[in-house]
Amino acid sequence: MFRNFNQFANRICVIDPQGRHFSYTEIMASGRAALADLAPAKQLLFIEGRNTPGFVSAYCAALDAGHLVHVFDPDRAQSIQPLIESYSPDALVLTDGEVARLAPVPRNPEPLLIEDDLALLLATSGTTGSRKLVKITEGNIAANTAAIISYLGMTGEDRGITTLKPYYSYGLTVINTHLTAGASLVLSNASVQDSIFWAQATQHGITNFAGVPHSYELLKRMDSRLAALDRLRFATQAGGRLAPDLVRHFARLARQGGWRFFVMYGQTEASPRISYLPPEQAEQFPDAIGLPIPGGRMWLTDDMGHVITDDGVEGELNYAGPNVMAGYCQSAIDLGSGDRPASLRTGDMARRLPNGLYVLAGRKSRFVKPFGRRLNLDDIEAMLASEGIEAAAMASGETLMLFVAGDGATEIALAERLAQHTRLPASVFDVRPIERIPRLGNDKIDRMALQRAIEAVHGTPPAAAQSPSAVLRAVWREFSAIMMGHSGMATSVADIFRATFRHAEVNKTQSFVSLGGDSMSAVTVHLQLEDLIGTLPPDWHERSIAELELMKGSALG
Amino acid sequence: MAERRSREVETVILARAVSMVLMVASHARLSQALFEGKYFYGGLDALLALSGMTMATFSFTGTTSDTLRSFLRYGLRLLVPCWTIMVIWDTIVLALGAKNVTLTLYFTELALISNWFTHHRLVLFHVWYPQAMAQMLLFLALIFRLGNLTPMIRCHPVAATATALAVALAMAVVSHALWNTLYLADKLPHLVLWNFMLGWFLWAMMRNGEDGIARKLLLSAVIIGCAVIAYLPTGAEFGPVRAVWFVVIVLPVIWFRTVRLPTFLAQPAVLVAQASFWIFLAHIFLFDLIEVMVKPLGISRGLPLSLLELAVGLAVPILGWAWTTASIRVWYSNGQRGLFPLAFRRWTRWSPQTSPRRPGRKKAWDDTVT
Repeated sequence: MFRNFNQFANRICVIDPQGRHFSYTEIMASGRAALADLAPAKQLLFIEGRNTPGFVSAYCAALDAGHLVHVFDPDRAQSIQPLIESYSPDALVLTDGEVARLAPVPRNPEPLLIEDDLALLLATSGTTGSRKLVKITEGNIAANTAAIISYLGMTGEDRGITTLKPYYSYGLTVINTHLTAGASLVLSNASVQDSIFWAQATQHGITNFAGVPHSYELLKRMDSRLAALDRLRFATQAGGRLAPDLVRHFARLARQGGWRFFVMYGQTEASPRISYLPPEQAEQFPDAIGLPIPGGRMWLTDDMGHVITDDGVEGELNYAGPNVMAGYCQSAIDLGSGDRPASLRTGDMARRLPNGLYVLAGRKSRFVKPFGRRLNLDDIEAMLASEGIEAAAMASGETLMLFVAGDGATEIALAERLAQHTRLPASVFDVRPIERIPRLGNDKIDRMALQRAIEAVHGTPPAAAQSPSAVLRAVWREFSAIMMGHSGMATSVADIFRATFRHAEVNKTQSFVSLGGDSMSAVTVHLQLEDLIGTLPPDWHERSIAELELMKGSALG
Repeated sequence: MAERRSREVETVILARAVSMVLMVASHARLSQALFEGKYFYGGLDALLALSGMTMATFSFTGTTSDTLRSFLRYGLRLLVPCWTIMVIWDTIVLALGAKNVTLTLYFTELALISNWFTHHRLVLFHVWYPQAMAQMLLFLALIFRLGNLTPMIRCHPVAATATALAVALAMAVVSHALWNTLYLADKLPHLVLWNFMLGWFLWAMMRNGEDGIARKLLLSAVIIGCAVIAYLPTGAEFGPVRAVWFVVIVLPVIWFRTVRLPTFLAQPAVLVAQASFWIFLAHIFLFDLIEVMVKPLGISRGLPLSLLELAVGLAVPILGWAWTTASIRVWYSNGQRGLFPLAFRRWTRWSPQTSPRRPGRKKAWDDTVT
């Protein structure tokens, strides 16, 4: 990785916020010097993710030397403790300045066993501090980077600007693509709302811009800023779904301005890019995620795992390509080996248009089925957003919890309006006012924080109310779910196993067999899992709860 | 999104459902009402083979001790509910001094050995099934314990299970030749062991998911061969009918992993499969209840009564199973509180939080008894 730095030698690599230029040679030399005290064997390094020359140098030198790198959010250092305990990294790398430096970290003296080709450990979206990380190989990064450079038409003459933190996979791809192409990068910590950001962008003549949906929502009010970037060649959007009207807006703006607008889709597990929407089709198909990246392949499967060949039929989106991860890890033990998936079940529902473009329908896990009717939680949020109501929709058993920010409609009125819209009882909707919808650093809704709020209200797991009539209603709902063949109140594999085996706490490493499952309970558990996950593998009864949960789908990168 | 009009069902689940429907239809005398002959017979024969197949799936993943624990768990989950009903019902029947009730029948039935003495029974379900299953499991547990057989099965599953099948089949054939057990309705463990062993053999041959045509043809030949050998020359009761139904139910499991059915067929089939144990325990009780209720109305045995018994014999246990399952799920999701156990706890002053519980001991039965 980054072994082509020599050929770029004295070309500008990065420009810091003070306007100082650093060449490729300087960046690599600085990084190597910072890591000089490391043992030559493959090391696990936790690097602070900052938009500084120190970070870029340490990151490039570490990957060039073949080390395994995890980039973390330095502003949430306390949340990194569980990771340090689980993975026992060889060193921390501090990057708050021009030059990176090593920091000691208490660790297990036993040497780590790490697979040779592992290069990155990435956190899935919104899970900083979670022990579960995605293993990415050097080959994954190289393939994905080459594909992105190819369809963007990036060259060594390009110059980007960091709008994203490098501890997000999208932010890292901006660095990877620019430095692999021999292009240059302006390191900025300013927001698109800050005039200093635009001053930097204009001064240094950036040729491309990368943004998440929130960035473009802000940019819509600042079209003149984009128009002032006379060297702009392309802009990219990823990190979530951009509303179709905004896609149309920026696609039109790009056409008029002579630059190109790329909508992109991906998951951390795909290193992360999976597809892109050809700019010339963005105005006509603003809700599409486009075509697979060069070298990749996408297809749809139904609930039983059969490939869907017809256009317009909704199914789960699958992806295969050289950028598919090397699996997940939960601790240092998992770094030495593990199953490598050949393909990725994205957990997103999609359909294919006759022209080959794919359109997303929503997260599989973002569907709930109260009274057997399928509801897309994202659609509920979008519907309310279009009415000016900022809300976050979460499933809580058979109830749909709506956290509404600010001065939204009164709770009862909103519940009744949703009931009318969905033709479900108003009691299905539990509307809760909230001061502010919690968001992550990439502006996505912090659903884990909301889930904790739900559990604080309902207890863990979310439970039926205490009164006999409420219990009877809950039993009736569950009875109806059973008769209709739905998974009912179980929203996770662990729920199903907990209800079957009566354990207060079910260990996620256990399987149906290890928990004492037998043929008498197998049919019911099998059917519940099928309703939740889709097609089960023949050895489902031996797969751990964690493995079965993974089949249910994972978060967006 | 509209509910689907069809869905895929695993063939083994569908086969289980068909076995149960066949059994209930047989006991409802539907065949006699339709054709004036007994052509619905053998549901439990097929169920034994399917049970063997699914039991093998879960029992041979660890050591011999794990296998023995698996046998014990399955045996207890089957026998405890059966035995509880037997104790209550048989005692009531004995106390009321019903005709043909003898102390011998009472005690041998409760001791789970009456199938060796008579084909009569006190309890209103086919008690031979749990008895034969318990006796088979005991026999198998002894063999496994003495021979430490699980590692052998794990290393050579096809050879080991094929040998077991051949021995069991030979045992049945020889026994039929030497001892006429028609008076016991042939409901003895050594006569039905081959069904179970066939299930093990099918598991061994199919466990890797390989499904080439040659393998399927071989397995088909084995299934048909076993049915022919076990049911035709041996003079087994309703032999030809049992052979046909056995093949019709078990053969598709070899050929198709899943079957796509219209939802209005698939969902009831899936419910029957899940509630099969409840159906087994309850349907004949329901038949007797129906017959008592229709007698004053002058409705005699015929097609309408048979159809009514079939419908009620399936629907009521399914509803009972579904409601009980839902109640217990809500109970446990509610932190073990709620209407259903609350009344019980108040009555007995028992609390799950305070009752002593031996570490590592699990309940032997639960709501998903099927």
